[in-house]
Amino acid sequence: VSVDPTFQILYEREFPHVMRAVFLVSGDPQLAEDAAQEAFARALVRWRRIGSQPWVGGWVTTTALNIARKQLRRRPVHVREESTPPDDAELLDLRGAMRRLPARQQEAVALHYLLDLPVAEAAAVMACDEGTVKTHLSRARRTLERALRQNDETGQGKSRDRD
Amino acid sequence: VTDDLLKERVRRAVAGATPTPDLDAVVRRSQTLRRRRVGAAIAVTIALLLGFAVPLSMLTGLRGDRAPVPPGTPGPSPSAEPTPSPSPAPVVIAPPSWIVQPNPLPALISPQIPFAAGTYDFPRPPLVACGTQPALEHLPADAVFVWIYRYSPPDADSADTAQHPPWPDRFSLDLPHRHGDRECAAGTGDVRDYRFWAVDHTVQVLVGIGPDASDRLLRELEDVVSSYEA
Repeated sequence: VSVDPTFQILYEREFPHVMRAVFLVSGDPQLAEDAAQEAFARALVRWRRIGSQPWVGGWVTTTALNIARKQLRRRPVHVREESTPPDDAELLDLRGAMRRLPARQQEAVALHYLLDLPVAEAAAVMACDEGTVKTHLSRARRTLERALRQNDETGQGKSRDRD
Repeated sequence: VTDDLLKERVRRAVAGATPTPDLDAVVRRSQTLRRRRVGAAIAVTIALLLGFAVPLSMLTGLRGDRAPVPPGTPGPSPSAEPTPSPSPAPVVIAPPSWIVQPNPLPALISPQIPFAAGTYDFPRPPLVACGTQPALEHLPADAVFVWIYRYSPPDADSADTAQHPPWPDRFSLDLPHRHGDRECAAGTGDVRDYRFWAVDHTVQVLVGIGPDASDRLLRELEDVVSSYEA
C-alpha cells in the first residue's frame, strides 16, 4: 500500500511511544495497540492538514489516549495485566496510580515523561498554556511519588518479614 | 523523587509492552474512515436538502390543488356584503401612442402631481424643482405635453381661488388660460396655464403644444385631460 513517506517515517518513529503511552494509562497492551493504530489511521485521514505540524506526534498520542479511555469506559470488567511480562510490584503500582490520574494529568505525563516533549510543546498539543501543563505535571508527580513511596515502604516491610 | 527518576520509572513501567507496528492495517483503517466521512457528508447534505425541500413542498401543497369555488358560493368573509375596495388613484385614459407617467414626483408632498403625459418620450423622472421645465424644453415641434398640479388645500398664491372656473365636464384648450410665462414654464414655446376649482382644491393644468402639433393631437390632449377626475 502506497502511503505518504513522511507519514511512514512518523509512524515508524512514534508508534512504539504512542502505544506505550496508552499502555501506561490502560495497562492493556492489546487495547494500547488498537488505540494507537486507530489514532494513526485518523492522522492519515487528516494528513494533508496536520502532516506538517510540529505537534503531530503529540496529536496522535492524545488521540490514542482518548480512544483508549473511551474503550475503557465501555468495559464493565477490570482488565488484568496478564499479557505483559511479569512486572514487579512497583511498576504495577505506578501504572495503577497512572490510571487513577485525571485525563489531563495522564496526557501531560505521557507527553512529557514518555515522549520527552518539552513543556512548551506539550502545551501546544494539549491546547493550553505552559503554566497549566506545569500544574498538571506537578499534581501528577505528587500522586505518582506517593504511589512509589508506598511501594517502597511495603517492599521494605516484606523484606524485613523475609529476614 | 526527582524528575529524572520519575521519568525512568515511567519508562520502565511501559518497557514490557512490545509494540507490533502494522502500517498496512493503519492504511486500511484510514480508507474505511475516509469512506465513512464521505458517507456522512453525503448524508448531511441530503438531510439539509430535505430540510429545505420538505417544508417548501408543504408550502406548495398549501397553495395549490384547491377545488374551484362554484359561482354563488359565499366567501369566508364574515361580512354579509362585500366591502368595496378603495377607489384607485385618479388616472387618465390616453391613446397608446401617448406616454403617461402617474405620480411622477412621489416625494413631492404639495402640490401633488397626479400625472404627466405626452406624445414623446419626455425626460423622466423630471427635476424635483420645476419638473415641467425639462419636459417642455424637449418638446418636439409636432408633439404635445400635459402636466397637472393638484393644490390641496388651495395654494397660497391662489387668493383668487374662488374666481377660478369649476373643473369642467370636458376640458377644452379654448377655455380661459394664461400663457406659460411664469416660473417653470417660461421661454418654452406655446405653454398654456389653466386653473380650475374643484370642491376643496385647485387644479393647474400646464399644457405644452409644439408649433406643428396636429389637430388630432390637440383633440387627443383634450380627451386625456378630460378623462382626469379632479
